[in-house]
Amino acid sequence: MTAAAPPAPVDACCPPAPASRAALPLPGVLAVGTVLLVLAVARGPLQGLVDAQAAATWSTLAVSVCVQALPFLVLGIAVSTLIAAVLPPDALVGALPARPGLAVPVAGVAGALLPGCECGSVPVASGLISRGVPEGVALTFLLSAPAVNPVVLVSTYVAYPGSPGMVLARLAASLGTAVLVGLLWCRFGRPEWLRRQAVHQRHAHVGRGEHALQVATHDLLQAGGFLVLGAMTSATLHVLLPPGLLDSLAGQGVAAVLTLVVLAVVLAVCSEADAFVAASLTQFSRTAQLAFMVVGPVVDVKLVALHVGTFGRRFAARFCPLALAAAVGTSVLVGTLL
Amino acid sequence: MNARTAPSALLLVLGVVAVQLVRTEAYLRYVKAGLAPYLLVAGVLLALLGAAGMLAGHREARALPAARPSQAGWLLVVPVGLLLLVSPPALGSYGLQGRATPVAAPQEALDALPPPRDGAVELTLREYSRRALFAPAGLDTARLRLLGFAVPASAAERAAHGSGFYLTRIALSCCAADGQAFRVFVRTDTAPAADTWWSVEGAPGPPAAAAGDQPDTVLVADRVTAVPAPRNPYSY
Repeated sequence: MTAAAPPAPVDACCPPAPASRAALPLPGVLAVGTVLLVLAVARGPLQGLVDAQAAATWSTLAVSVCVQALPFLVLGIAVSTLIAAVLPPDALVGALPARPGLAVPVAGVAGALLPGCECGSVPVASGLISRGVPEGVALTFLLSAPAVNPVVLVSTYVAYPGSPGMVLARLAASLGTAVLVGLLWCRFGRPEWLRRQAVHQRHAHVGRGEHALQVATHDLLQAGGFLVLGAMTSATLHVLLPPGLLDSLAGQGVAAVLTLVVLAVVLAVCSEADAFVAASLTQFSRTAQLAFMVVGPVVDVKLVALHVGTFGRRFAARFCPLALAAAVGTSVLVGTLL
Repeated sequence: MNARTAPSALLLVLGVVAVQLVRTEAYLRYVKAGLAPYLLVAGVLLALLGAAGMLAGHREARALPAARPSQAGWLLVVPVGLLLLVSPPALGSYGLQGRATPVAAPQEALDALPPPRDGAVELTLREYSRRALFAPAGLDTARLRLLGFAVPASAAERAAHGSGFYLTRIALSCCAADGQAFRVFVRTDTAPAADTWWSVEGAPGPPAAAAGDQPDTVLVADRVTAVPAPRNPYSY
């Protein structure tokens, strides 16, 4: 019999959060309100300082990424809250093969079957981990769910009419990335890299519903805030990227791949749309376009921010470079076979 | 509102803003139309969660284990504030000078042109370019009407194409961040300001080489009409 780790004691009392950080302070509200008020009043004079069109484009892009991601973030957190509230602690662990070597590919395929996008899969993976699913397995799901689901494959097929090979290449490279990262994490990952959140542990005197409410509120604010950070970063880079820069860069070889990898990280396009952007980068090699589509759903500025917000900085500092390297590696490998 | 209910209040506001975006159709400036139902559901869920949290926070006198604060959550004020105060416009001509997305060659024979409306066949800019580049024979006798916003041509582009401007439309796949600009050079004496919307009628001209990968497609216009921006500024 395999020794299943006993579920973490639910009532193990966490130290009370320091009073100074115990709640969102009212001064914070006032400060933000004041800044917004000043901005609103001083809009005219301020517009003289910055290029008004650049500022407008920046805000449109930042708001767009937020509006686009919000439904999926809410959906993901709803699913994650449901998993935590409804499933018994060991239901998922029991359903998975005990050997990571098997469980990781199973998670990869499970992710591929479910339509989901990257913003939603982060909280879902967090929920899986909180239910005792091994981290490497949950992370494989996190990587494969947005990268190779049916919606993404169909949009890739539409974006590359007449070359179904591109769909297969994307499927192979993305699934390969997810499984590779999951296996490596199972082998070398350390639990202490993930931030355990005190809020996720239910205390005996708090009702189930109330606890779910608290957790969902906390997760939404946390993930939402970091999403905004990612969206603002992406919008800034988007506006600063000199027009015509891409046209002047090499379209072949290693330089092409690296250029599009950087572009995928910077633009933070969602996985359902990235095939159309990739297909329009016609001056770049097919391998480079493939790398763009494989890297985008795995690591981009918006996702890095979400990882930091959900799992903590120590996790993101290890997971994101690993996933990036795996994504580039598998894309180049699959691309040379293309 | 006390410190405990503030996070819930923020979610409530966020939810209401999301619902309002759909109700006023302002969301069409930021994301594709198909996202509306999801945005609506998310907005309602957020508002309900926020309201429930505020009620619970008021009711709850005894000390709950303090939810670890999420200072990051206050960043949500940025998009909410932008939407309420500035209401960022749809993407326009900024950064588009001299840039266009190449049009993919069709894999199958193209359908026949749609029947004319009010004396002209209406095509999207992308569709027109596709036909003009890859199946020009089908356009020979057609009178066409195109819709888009103006991007003034540079001196070099006017030297190559004659007087006129670029009629441009941005196509979205998901949100504005993945927008791709498609454009057609309109040969005319009208010189419109950037970002004004125009309905243009005329006959196809031969595509002419420009700076990009693909030749610019050209419409020789005999009727150029200023129009209000369409309900949905993007095409798909």
